[in-house]
This record gives sequence, C-alpha cells and structure tokens, in this order.
Amino acid sequence: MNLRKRPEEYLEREDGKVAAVILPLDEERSKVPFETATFGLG
Amino acid sequence: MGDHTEAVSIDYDPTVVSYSDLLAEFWLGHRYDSINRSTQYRKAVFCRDETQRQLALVSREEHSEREGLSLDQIRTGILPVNHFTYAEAYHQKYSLSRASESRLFLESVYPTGKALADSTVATRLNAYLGAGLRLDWKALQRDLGAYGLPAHLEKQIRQLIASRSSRE
Repeated sequence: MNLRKRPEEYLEREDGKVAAVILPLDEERSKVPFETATFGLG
Repeated sequence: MGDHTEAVSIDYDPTVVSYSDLLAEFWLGHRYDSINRSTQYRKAVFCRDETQRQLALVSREEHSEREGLSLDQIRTGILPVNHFTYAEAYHQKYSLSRASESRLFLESVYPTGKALADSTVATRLNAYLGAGLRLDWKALQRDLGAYGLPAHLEKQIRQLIASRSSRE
C-alpha cells in the first residue's frame, strides 16, 4: 500500500482505481474508463 | 511537508469532456501572471504523460496569444506529476457542508479522503451546492433518485433545490 502516515489519518495515494463503489450511482460510474487531469491553482 | 503542492485532481470521462476542455477552464480559473511564492501554492499543470504535456504547452501558447502576453509573463508551470496524495476527508467536497446531514451520511459511507473524493454522488452534490443556480437544477431533480441517498436526505436536498430555484 502506498500510504503516507500522519498522526490523524493515513493519506492514500492515487492508484488508478475508484474507491467509492457502495452507492448505486457510484458503483455504476466506477466502471467508466476515466482519465485524470491535475492542476495547481495557486 | 515542504515539498508538496496543493492541487486538484479531476477524474473525467474523456468521451464527455476533453483534456483540452479542462485546460481551457484552468487558464480562466487562476492567476497565471502572478509569481509563484511557494512550492505549496504554485500554479501548474501537472502532466501525466507526454500527450498531456504537449496539449498543455499548446494551450499555454494559445492563452498567451489570446491575452496578448509573452510566454515569460505566464508564470504557470508545466510539470510532471510525481505522485498525488489525497487530502483528508474534511478537506474534500467543501460545499457539501451546506447540506450537513447529507455530508455526514456520505462520510459514514466513504470515511476516507480518497473514497469521498472518488464518489460521483458526493462530487455532483458538491457541485450543485457550490455553483448554485449556474447549474441545471432540473437535471438534479430528475437524477437525484438514482443517487442512493436515504429518503429523508433526498427530500431535504429537493427542498433545498426548490428554495433556491424560487429565488431565481
């Protein structure tokens, strides 16, 4: 697992997978092939 | 701490919106001409592959021409992604706090920052609650039943929508 430990919570790294699959809409949308864009907004 | 940049990461369906579309919004949504005062709050496109990098370079050039600026005046960097770490859950989906019971429910279902960030339900509700009347409230009314919220929370959201729509 790629985790960076902090006192309060382990922070997860991006892994290309969708972690939200419990609610029906989320489960459905987790199957969509997605791409990722990342921006620093300042 | 000290070597990271606060950033937003967008998972998107490329059949609906393109990377270039997102770049266009990015240039409109930040101060590209101000100096980066720290690594933590620097402005940058963090590219995941060469295709993204090339598109970012083209978009930067087009933006500078459109604004009548030289490339030197565009302070926004075009950099490779090293790795992306999700912030804690309380940093995610800020506008959800306007529907606090729904937020508590979603945090109970998705207790980690990554899971809450990954949730389409949380993302859409956050967008509607944050953008308000600029988004299509009728679409939310139509689709809300499929979100999987408990009935009483769905009712609260519908009442919230109705009260905002009436102020339009």
